Amino acid sequence: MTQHLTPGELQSHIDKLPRMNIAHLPTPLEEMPRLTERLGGPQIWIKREDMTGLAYGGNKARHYEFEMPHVAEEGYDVMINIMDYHSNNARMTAAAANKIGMRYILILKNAANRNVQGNLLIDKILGAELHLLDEYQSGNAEGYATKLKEELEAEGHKPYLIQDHLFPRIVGMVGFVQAGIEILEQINENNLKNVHIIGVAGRSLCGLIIAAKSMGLDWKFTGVTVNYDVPLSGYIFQHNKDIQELLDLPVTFERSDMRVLDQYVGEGYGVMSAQVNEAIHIAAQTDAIICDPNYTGTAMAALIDQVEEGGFSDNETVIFLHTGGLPAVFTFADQLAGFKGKI
Amino acid sequence: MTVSQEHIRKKLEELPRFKLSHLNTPVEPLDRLQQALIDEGVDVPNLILVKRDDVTGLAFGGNKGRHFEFEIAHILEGGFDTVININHYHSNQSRFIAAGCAKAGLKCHIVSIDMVTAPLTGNLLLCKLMGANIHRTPADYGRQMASKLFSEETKAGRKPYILPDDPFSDIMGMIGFLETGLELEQQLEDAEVTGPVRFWGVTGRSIPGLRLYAKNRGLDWRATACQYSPDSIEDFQNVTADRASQVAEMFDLEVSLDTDDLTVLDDYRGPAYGEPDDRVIEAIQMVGKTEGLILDPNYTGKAMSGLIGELRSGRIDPEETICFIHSGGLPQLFAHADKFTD
Repeated sequence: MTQHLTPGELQSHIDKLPRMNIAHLPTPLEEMPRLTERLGGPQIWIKREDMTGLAYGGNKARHYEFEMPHVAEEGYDVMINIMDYHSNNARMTAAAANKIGMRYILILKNAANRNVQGNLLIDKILGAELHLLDEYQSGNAEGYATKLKEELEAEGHKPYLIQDHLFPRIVGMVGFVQAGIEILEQINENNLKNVHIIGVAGRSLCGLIIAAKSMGLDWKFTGVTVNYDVPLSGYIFQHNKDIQELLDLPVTFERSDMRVLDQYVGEGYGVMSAQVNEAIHIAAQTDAIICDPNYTGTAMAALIDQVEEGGFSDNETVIFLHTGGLPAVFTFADQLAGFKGKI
Repeated sequence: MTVSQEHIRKKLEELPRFKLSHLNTPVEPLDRLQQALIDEGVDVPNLILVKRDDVTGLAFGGNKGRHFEFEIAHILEGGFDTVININHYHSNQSRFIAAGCAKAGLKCHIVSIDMVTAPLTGNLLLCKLMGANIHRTPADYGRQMASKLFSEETKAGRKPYILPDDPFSDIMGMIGFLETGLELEQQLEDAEVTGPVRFWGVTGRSIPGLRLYAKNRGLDWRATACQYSPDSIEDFQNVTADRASQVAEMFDLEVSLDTDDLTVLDDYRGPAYGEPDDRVIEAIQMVGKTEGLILDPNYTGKAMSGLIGELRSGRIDPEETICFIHSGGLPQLFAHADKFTD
């Protein structure tokens, strides 16, 4: 039988890592009374990771609290990131790098000649050194990045190509072990029972699962897939031992700890379905919560559909994990503005 | 003689309120911006702070998340079920009205004036998402459109409220910032700030609200407001003095504002309302690059171009601590994307 940790003990495992203050924490946990009433099912709450305060907010502000000191302490002087046109990570890494005066090179796939809007507009304003790849170049973005890295090394720099390293792949989970301690406190304050957390299937949910299991909590988890191209096994599940080792914990997450829903992806990542468009309008018109078309809108569509289809029990408290991503709303302005449905 | 914090708090608590925002908002140092200016050879104050009212949490945040807690409660108390507002295309206020109405279950009409063919993005897109009925008209027809909507709604048996017709809507912004004053007095004490503090922002109701608070509390808080539109400075000063006297009476304060209580700068307004000049673009990029902090081109970008400009010209007393009021406005950056595409 596993010995459970107290919140304070779990905190001490996190506190071993170097850390800087970037995010506004704790983020609020608040009710969505009008969505709850409209759907007529379980009580719905929302964890406002869109309110971390770093360049339009988002869950990743938590990660950089650990990632930036890690990179800086190892003497790197330039970060290179390979991301997609719609990426929130691209934007937030830019903002976090600026906070420590770290040079930042952003290689964006499938971004050449596309609209400078949403996250890409903010990347530009933040002064990221942009390499916008066309579709052909995007096929070998890693090769492009490696060549760039080698050129920088030849000039005497010490570049940190994010995709070469393990730490950035697990640090997002560390941030959410921390978030788990925070949520526990908020759940206790509000006396919430039968907690069921739903959000995008990714590192954040995995971090919360570790927190819950470490502290012996009976929270349930539903992860919503937003992408056909990134299999969850390689993206998150294979790193369950890495995070356990980094934080020296008695337990870690397993695939079976999360109910995964993959029926809301629609035509694929970066394409907003009619269902997601409607879900964005519903959340906005009930509780003035804005979701984005790529991630949280898909998770919101899943939440609404699952409540309607009986995917949650009425005695559960459903917590929607709002991971941010707000600039992307404006990349999809035409489609959102063209929504004709009746809410 | 000064007014106590307790008195101001008590008066605020007497007002009906509908929760919309997450308060308090943080105060943070802008160390890296300060360093960048030092590197230019600029004589800067010891401390430049930012008050993060961009993170009030309601639909992209902003200072108006504060005021509308009073405004929405006031509307509900009046028994109204429909809100009609007249706003410019670039207006942030329209977004807060739409958000407040969504949360309170009120019907909302936004009469969006000027720039009728500009894309539906930024604030106006968010209004649409939050269920506001949007009516775009040339500036001269805004009032007419609002009246038409008013009679239609009345005929349909509803009880509409035209926001700009209610004097309360004109002063609630200043009231919201009396509360900010309470917040800031504590935060500055926690940050061990001593000596004079200069609050910096745009003309409007926030900076005057802080100045009114400070004057009644006997604090050495100074204030600079940057004009962002072609409106005359004299009109702003007169309207502000009038608003302040209304609030002073309502809150039973000892003193009101005089027209010279604020330093008002008109050098940074740019070519027009909603049009940033090059200095604004530079200021937005400089703060983004040094601090990872985003400003908007219509208001906070203009205020920051004013702050940087005045610092560079050596017109700011280095003994002062600067506290920049980030009043939000972040969605509207996306309506100005073309200004940043080289």
